[in-house]
Amino acid sequence: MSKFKTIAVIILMLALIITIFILSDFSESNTSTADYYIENSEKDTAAINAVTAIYLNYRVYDSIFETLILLVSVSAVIHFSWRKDHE
Amino acid sequence: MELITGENISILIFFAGFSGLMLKRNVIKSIICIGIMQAAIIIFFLSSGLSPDNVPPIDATGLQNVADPLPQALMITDIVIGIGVTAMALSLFIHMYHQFGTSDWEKAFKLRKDSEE
Amino acid sequence: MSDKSYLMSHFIGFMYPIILLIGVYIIVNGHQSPGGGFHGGAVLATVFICRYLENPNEDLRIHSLEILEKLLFFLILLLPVVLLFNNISMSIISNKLYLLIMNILIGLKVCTGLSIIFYRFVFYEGGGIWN
Repeated sequence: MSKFKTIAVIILMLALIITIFILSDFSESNTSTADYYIENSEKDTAAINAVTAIYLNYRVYDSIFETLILLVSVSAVIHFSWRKDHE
Repeated sequence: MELITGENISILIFFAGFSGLMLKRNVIKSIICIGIMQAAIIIFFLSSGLSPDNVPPIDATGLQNVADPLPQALMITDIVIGIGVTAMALSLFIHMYHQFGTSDWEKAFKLRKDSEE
Repeated sequence: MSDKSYLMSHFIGFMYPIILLIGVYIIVNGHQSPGGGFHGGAVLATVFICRYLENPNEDLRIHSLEILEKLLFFLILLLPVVLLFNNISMSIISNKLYLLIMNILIGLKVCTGLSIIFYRFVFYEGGGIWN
């Protein structure tokens, strides 16, 4: 049992070093989306904060379905409870 | 040094959580390790494309070196998703404990296989 | 755990309005400083947790919190459909009002959702076989 665990730890450390080397040369030089959001977010919406303009005006669908996730998870916790004598 | 950036730290945390998920036998520790992996992914998304001399994107039209506002707005929803998944996983763990009497997934697997024969 | 400790209850009773004020400030100033609905909602949820830590014996009506959450979800769904998905052009004041109301609604929804999860775990799942 402990031999299996040492082999698994060695393979995981090898995977860690390989992943760090693969993702190290990550040069990003195309920022056209971010430039559009920063330049035009005060003109389209009246928000000074660019993050608020994004999650309330440009991508408001994500926020709507986000609240739907909260509602479904609350109803799942109530439905899967163990005690049967609530309310 | 180029070795201590945000992305490398997040990869380290992700693999630490992943090894904890593989090698431990308690179910509560597995649920905690899933939360650790979610935090590592959030840090990776936030710190790719950020440099130490960035200005926050508040009232910044026409400035240079402004931080990217789009990953920040998308990672807000990721945290709330993590809370919902953890809550449901914990309420399912209570059912498993009441049915099998143990919080060990290997013993529960053996008990379930023995009771089916 | 149904006995309270006096140190915790006196200290949390002192911190209670400060946390409430910080949460409301983060929600309301979401459009011109870092913050917003989701962040302030998570801070407001700790107010309900503090209420349980101060007095663990008191009961709370969870049914009214559930009704409030469903009503808030309906309002969050109604406001962008009426104001944003049309072709009407809005002035600056109505844009700022839309941002403020949406931040407050999202903050209250996140607060009630998280506190319902906490109270269901504390009131109904403990006791009995775990002691």
